Amino acid sequence: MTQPTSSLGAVAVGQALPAKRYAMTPEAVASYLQAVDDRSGSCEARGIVPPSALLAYALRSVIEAASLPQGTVHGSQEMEALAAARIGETVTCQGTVVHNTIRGERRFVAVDLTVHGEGGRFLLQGRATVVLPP
Amino acid sequence: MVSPLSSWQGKLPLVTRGGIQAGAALGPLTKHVTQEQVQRYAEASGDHNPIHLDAEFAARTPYGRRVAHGMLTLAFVSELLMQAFGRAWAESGKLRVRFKGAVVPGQRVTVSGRVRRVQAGPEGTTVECAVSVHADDGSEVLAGEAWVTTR
Repeated sequence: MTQPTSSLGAVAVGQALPAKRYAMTPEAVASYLQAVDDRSGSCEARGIVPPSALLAYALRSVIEAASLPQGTVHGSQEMEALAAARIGETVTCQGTVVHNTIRGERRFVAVDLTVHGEGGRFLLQGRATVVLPP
Repeated sequence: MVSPLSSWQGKLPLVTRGGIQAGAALGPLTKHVTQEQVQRYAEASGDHNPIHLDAEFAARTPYGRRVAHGMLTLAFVSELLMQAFGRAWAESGKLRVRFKGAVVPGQRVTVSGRVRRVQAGPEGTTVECAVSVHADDGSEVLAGEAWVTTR
């Protein structure tokens, strides 16, 4: 994993973070499902990646592109699934900082997230709002 | 080890059973969150924030101890909606949540939802739901809304 070169709190509004590609291999999906204790089989039976996994990878792209101070917490999250990713598909995730403000002693940063699949299929979008410690 | 409530397993998604009506209940789904699971989630997601993993660091935060990733709690909600709406959730689901409180490893959380509105439109039937996650101390740790369009 490449170490991030800048802190998320220092990223200007409007700046797109570097896009990251991830292979949604059967092993990666199984690892995710085990981590979230999803034993329903709902996604594996359909051969699709859970939308929450795509969202998790979108956030991973942000963490890998810009460091988050220790103690950062997740304030809110939005997501919209547009199409299902197939297990085995490689997806491209990217975040763009859309808000970066200080309220009181804390910094609030909102990042718009996108996930595209192979052939440019738009799979998911969302917005994460994180609260950075003072 | 986490143990989901098995009441949903093996059942057809809500949409294939037809008759979605306002007021219909989703779930509940119960999860027992452990530190081992938080560690696994950190590995799977790449989020190694010490507030989730380092007891010494977490003791100095306002929470006073390690807490689970908010995205882990969100994943429980997504699982509930996937079980309720099937593939439609993965292809058209929208979710908006606020993380209202922390889930502490060792806690049991209950994920539930309720259909608020069902509206037919040109692209299908849109179902609007309220979703929430409560910890076993009764506190609401996540609250939000979800929408899914079934065709």
